[in-house]
Formats: sequence, C-alpha cells, structure tokens
Amino acid sequence: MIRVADAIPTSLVARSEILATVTRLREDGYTLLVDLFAYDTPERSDRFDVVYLLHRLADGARVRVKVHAAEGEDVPTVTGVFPAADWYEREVYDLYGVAFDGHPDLRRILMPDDWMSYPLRRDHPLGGEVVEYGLPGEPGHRDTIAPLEFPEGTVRS
Amino acid sequence: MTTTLPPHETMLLNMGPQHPSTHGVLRLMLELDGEVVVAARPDIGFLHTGIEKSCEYRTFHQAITLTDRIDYLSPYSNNLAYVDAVEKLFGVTPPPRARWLRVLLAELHRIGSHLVWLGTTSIDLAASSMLIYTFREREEILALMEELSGVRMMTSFIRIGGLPADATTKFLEGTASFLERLPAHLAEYDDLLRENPIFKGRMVGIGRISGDDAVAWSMTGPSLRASGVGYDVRRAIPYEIYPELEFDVITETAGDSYARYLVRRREIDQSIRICRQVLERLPDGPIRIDDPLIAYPKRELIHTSMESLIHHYKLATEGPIPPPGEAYAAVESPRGEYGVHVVANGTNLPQRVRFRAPSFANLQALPLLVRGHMVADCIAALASIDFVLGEVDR
Repeated sequence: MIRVADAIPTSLVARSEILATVTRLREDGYTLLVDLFAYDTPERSDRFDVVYLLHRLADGARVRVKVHAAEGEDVPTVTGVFPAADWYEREVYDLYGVAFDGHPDLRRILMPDDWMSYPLRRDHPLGGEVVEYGLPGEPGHRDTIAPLEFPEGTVRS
Repeated sequence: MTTTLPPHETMLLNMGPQHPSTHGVLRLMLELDGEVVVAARPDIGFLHTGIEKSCEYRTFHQAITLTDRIDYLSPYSNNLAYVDAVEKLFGVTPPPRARWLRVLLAELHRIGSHLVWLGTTSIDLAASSMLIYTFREREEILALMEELSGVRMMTSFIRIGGLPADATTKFLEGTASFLERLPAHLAEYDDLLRENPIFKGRMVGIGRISGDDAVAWSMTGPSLRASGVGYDVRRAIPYEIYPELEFDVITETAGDSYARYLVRRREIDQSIRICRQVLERLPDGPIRIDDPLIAYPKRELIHTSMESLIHHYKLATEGPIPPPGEAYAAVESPRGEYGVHVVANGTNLPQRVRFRAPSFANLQALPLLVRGHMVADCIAALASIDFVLGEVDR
C-alpha cells in the first residue's frame, strides 16, 4: 500500500466490510466523519481508493479506512451511520463514477445533471469540453448531440 | 382573482441561484406550507471550477496559487493546509520564524473573514451600515497584506519549506498598530448589535441545531462550537506553533444563529490575543529551510552562485518532487476544519489533491436549521453558518 506520511493509522478493508467497520468505529467513539473522498490509480485493476477519515472528539484520535473498487463496482453506503456521508458519496459518484449501494439519493452534485463523463478520473483530459448552449430538445443542447469527444492535442501531463 | 390553497398543500419556492442573500450562487429549493419552511434542499455546483483537477496539472509549487481561490475570504488557511500536507510528504519542518509568521497571517485572515461575515450577515438582517464599518477595518488588513506580499487578497505568501520573504518592519509595526485600534471598533459593533432588539429578534432561537446533530452532519468550526462541542483543530490536532500559544476555544450552548454570532465575535478577540503573542515572541532566524531540492534559494545567492541559479531554475520549471505517498493536513479555517489530502506518485505533479472544505459539510446541515421557520428566518439561518460557495463547489 502507498506510504502514509501523516501518522494517521490507515487500514484497507474489503468493500463488503466497510459498513461494519465504520459502524464499529462509530461505537468506539469516532463520531465525526471528517472526510470521505476518492482517488484514482488507473494502473491498478481496482483503480479507485475510497477514503474515510474519522475523528474521535474525546481525545483527538483519528483513523483512516480505505476501500478499493474497480470500474463498475459498487461500494456500500455509510449514510445510515453518518448522515453527512450523503453529499460526500454523491461527490465521489459525480467525479469518479463510483456508485454507492443503498444511497438514498445518488445524483450528480457538482457537475450538471446531464454531464456524460467523470471528470476527476486520471484518464479524463483537462479542458477541451465542447460547450453548447440551448434548451432541452433544441439543437445545441447536449442531449441531442453525440457524447463528449475530446479533440486531439488536449492538455495532458 | 384570488387562489386559495387547500389546507396542508405545500408549494415549492425556488430561491437563488441569483439571490442576494444566498452569498454567492446557491440555489435553495424550499417547500413551503404558507410561509413556513417544511423542507429545504440546497442545490450546489454553480461555482464548480475543477480546482482539484487543475492541481493535478501543476507542480507542487504552482498549485499553491490555485488554493487561494477556494475559500476566497480566508485564502491563507487554504495555503497553509496545502503546504503543510506537502511538507509532510517531504518530511520537512520550516524554521521557527516562518511558523510563527504563518500563524500571524492565518489569524489576521481569520479576523478579516469574521469581519466580512459580520457585515454581510447584518446586511441580510437590514442593518446595512455594519458592512461599511466592518469593511473599513478589513481594508486595513488587506493593506497590510499588500505591504507584505504586494497582493491584497490572494497573497499566496507561502512556499514549501517556509515563506517567500521575511516580514518587513513596516508590516509588523502596521499590524501592531492595527491590533491597538481594532478593539475600540469591535466595541462599537457590540453597541450596535449585541443587545439590539431587532438583531436579537432575528437571531435568537433561529436555526437551532443540537451538538449531536451537528457532529452527525460533520459540522465544524464556529457553527459546531455554537452547539456546545468544543472542537477546534488548533487545539485538537495542533499544527504550526499553536501549542505554544495561549488562547481559548470559544463555545456557546444555545446552538442558534445568535450563538454562532457570539462565537465568531469572541473569536476575533482570541485572534487578536494570538497575533499580539506572535508579535511579542517572534523569533529571529531564516524563513525557509536550506534544502536546494525543496525550497527556493535565497534571492541574493541566485545572483552570485551558479548552483543556486541552477536549483532555482529546476524548482521553477520542474518543481520539487516528493517521495511517493499520501498525507493529510488540517487547519482551523474561519469556517471549520479545512483539510488537504495530497497523493504523490513520484512525479513532479500531484496525483490527487483533495480539499476537505468545511462549508461543504456545514451547508449540508442547512435543511435541519431552517425546518419549521419562516422564509425570512431562513435568511438569518443561512447567513449564520457562514459558507463560502467557492469552497463548497471548488
């Protein structure tokens, strides 16, 4: 696993166990879900890391739990344990396309509802989106044209 | 012609995204029973600029300037959290003088941010003169920043391993004199607002949230402390030199809009206290670490030493390269826990820069705050959680 440079205890759990893990941690006093986000390592077959950062208010202890997910694999939602996970999971879904099984309202949150791609994936280019204006049903609106294509020469690292 | 609605039929009211009291581009869908809010659904994303994505195409140094634009009312908190995370990846600690000055700048920005909040919130409650007063004082902070860095708002006055330059005498003296004058102005604000019956009528009992609910919805910062939970990153997970400083973590128990006002107002006093301690105890010494692979060499060396010139060139073009790994650093921004998680993959560009924005979580709890209130009180509750849309949407 990747080197952790910040002294926060980090563990990797199986996708099926994440709900049980965070439930146990919550009962152990880790009541504040500080952050829930994802990152992408396309070189790996289970490319997505979903990261949960929990905080215990009593003594300031922190713990980080990670889950790996491959393309198309769902992660169980933790909204039942931490209501705040609602928007965080929507954000991960919006930007990476990782779906959360059992989420009450899994919609895009930052990108437009009709956006066709997952922009924070590492293989998604920066810039080059076709910007179209128009009302739904009219020419120029995105639902009447082909999915986004990225022209040659798009900025890449 | 008049239309009468059958009893208990609700209507949907769309507030924003272009509404002056939504403090940016927030769209709020209100379900109303008469004038009472039954449910509220915030709709965000109108200010999404993809800063996290852009950071992946910048060197670790270049990304600093992007972080300013996230929480534009308190840019220094963003700078600090990002640079702290990158310094953890390198395993370096900046010299003492830089760490003290960083705290001074962060606290000055906290005062500035709370002043803007006080002014804009008062304007929402029709106390329109407050904005003029608070901006008058904030202007002095911006002028100090200009003296220090040449830039008023987006200073980016930080580098990996320290600061770009030492603080000038004029800046330090100006800060000391500003801190002398500020308390008198704060007393004027108190005269205007604290016991003002209209202000209290609009704030007391409005937007109440319990401590347990606030924690469950991941609220942090003044909004959480107003509900009786004394969680402050500066004390809970200390960073920079906060363990050496004396200050109180302000809490209130009521959990309403007025309690959040009191917390922020009293936090300004604590920030003044911290700034004074920094000015008194500021140590001498270098302001950047001496590591040519991470921190820029001294300006005068670039003109005299060939090695320094090469190092400067390499850092400016290729940038510093941290060893692979990930690190999270958090600071207490004026709005709560502002955290940055950086993942490095051994190249000169970050693989992932994640900004944990306090406003994002705080805003999510808004439906709890406004349920059962009148539409007009919704404005006060909205203003009292002090969100910045630039930070919600990133």
